[in-house]
Amino acid sequence: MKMDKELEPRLASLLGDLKAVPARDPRAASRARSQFLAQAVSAQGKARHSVWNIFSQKEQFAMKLITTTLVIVGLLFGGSATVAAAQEALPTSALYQIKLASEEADLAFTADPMSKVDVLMEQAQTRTQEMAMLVTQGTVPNEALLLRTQNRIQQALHQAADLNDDAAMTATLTRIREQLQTQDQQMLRLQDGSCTDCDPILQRTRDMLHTQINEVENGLADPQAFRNAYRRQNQTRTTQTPDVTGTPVPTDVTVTPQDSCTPALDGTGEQYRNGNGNPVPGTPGPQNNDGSGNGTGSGSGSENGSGSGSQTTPGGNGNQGTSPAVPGGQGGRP
Amino acid sequence: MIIEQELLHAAYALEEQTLAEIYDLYSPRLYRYAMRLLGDAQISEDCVAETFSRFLQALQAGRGPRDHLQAYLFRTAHNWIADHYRRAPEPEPLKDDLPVNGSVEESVNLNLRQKRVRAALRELTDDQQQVIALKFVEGWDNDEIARVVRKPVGAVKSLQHRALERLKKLLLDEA
Repeated sequence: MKMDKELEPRLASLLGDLKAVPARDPRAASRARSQFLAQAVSAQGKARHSVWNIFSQKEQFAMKLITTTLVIVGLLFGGSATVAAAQEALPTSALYQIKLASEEADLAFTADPMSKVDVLMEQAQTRTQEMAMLVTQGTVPNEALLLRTQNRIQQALHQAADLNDDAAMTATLTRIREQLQTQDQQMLRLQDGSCTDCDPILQRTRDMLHTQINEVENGLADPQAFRNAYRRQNQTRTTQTPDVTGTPVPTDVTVTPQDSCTPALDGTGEQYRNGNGNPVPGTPGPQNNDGSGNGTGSGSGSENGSGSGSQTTPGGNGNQGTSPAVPGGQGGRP
Repeated sequence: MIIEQELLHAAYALEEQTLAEIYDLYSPRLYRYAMRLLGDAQISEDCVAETFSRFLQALQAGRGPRDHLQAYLFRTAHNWIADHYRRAPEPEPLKDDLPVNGSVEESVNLNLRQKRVRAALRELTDDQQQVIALKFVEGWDNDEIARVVRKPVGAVKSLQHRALERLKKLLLDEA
């Protein structure tokens, strides 16, 4: 190789030793992937909020008037029929957003914590049923569907952790576990080879369900530790900083739940913590134009589970030359 | 190149499918790179997570890469690693998840050699570390490395020359 001519053999051998690394833990990899995609869904929601916020700031009164009028007219002339029709909608349908919005309304009007768990798990079940219907039609369900399912399960676990009575919490967790096992069986049945393209997402859904079942098992084994872990996450979330652009996320707009109320989604309850189980020490600074700063400093915890404090501002964003090929034949596309 | 630009175009729209595709494409490579330099699975996972998190934040702010996504991601990851080196100067613990199938003694020796090389790399400047790691561990060519360090190829060669001289002193002369 070219490098051998430039490099003393002993040095080449020593550097070559670094190439031998253990294989990545598939569970950790899967968890990291879920976290990133959850962040992506959340980012998408924030982007939508920003667009809506422009309207709400500039034309707040007019928009409210128009919205109210449309809602009243809609309800008078077939609004309820539309909502009813939307209940059967799949993610590929134009009515699907209405279905999600109506689910969010159901949740908002449910005050009792135990009933809330039931509503959330029912919605998680609806997502997996949608996945099943898509697979039956030969359509590959997208990642968002998995994340919405995960979102609802995590919210249900948060609700369960909020129950102060151990017996009530144990009963609730037992119920959640049964529902998760049913969903897992449903996903397993779908992996019958009739839609091979669907298998990866189905497998990822099953992996996610297994992680959630493990969470529940841990909760059943040690209710107090489970409660503490989830409450700690809630506290962490309430002390989070705004998004990196410094723009506060608006709270007065109607949004679908999967975009706006994302609790820990990795199945481990660790979304707001780093891998060592410690709160994250820093948030990348907004002034960094490619997000790759490497300065040191302190900052507040960030939603993404990592961060390294204030950063330097790099000179550009690497817009030179041609795209690098995959080096050394490594890391082929999975 | 075209595929990468298409991916980036869709990524700016924060399309989940595209972001998942980008993650699946680059995350294994970034993990391996971090693992080689850090020697710790958990810290390497943190590095990958932070790299993608910064990428997402840059996309949201409209300040992400317009091309050369791989170079951008490796640069971001390396900056995190260099930052980690500065924050955690203590030597890494001896790992028990040894990577090779040979005898235990062989594995222990490999692990010790890896630690020694990593310690030597930490004596280099950030750019020198990056050039050496990408060139002699990852096997990239100078053009690719130049895009990562955002310097001309000539400067990359110069960095490489100085880094190798320093590594010789640190790893061979003292042996």
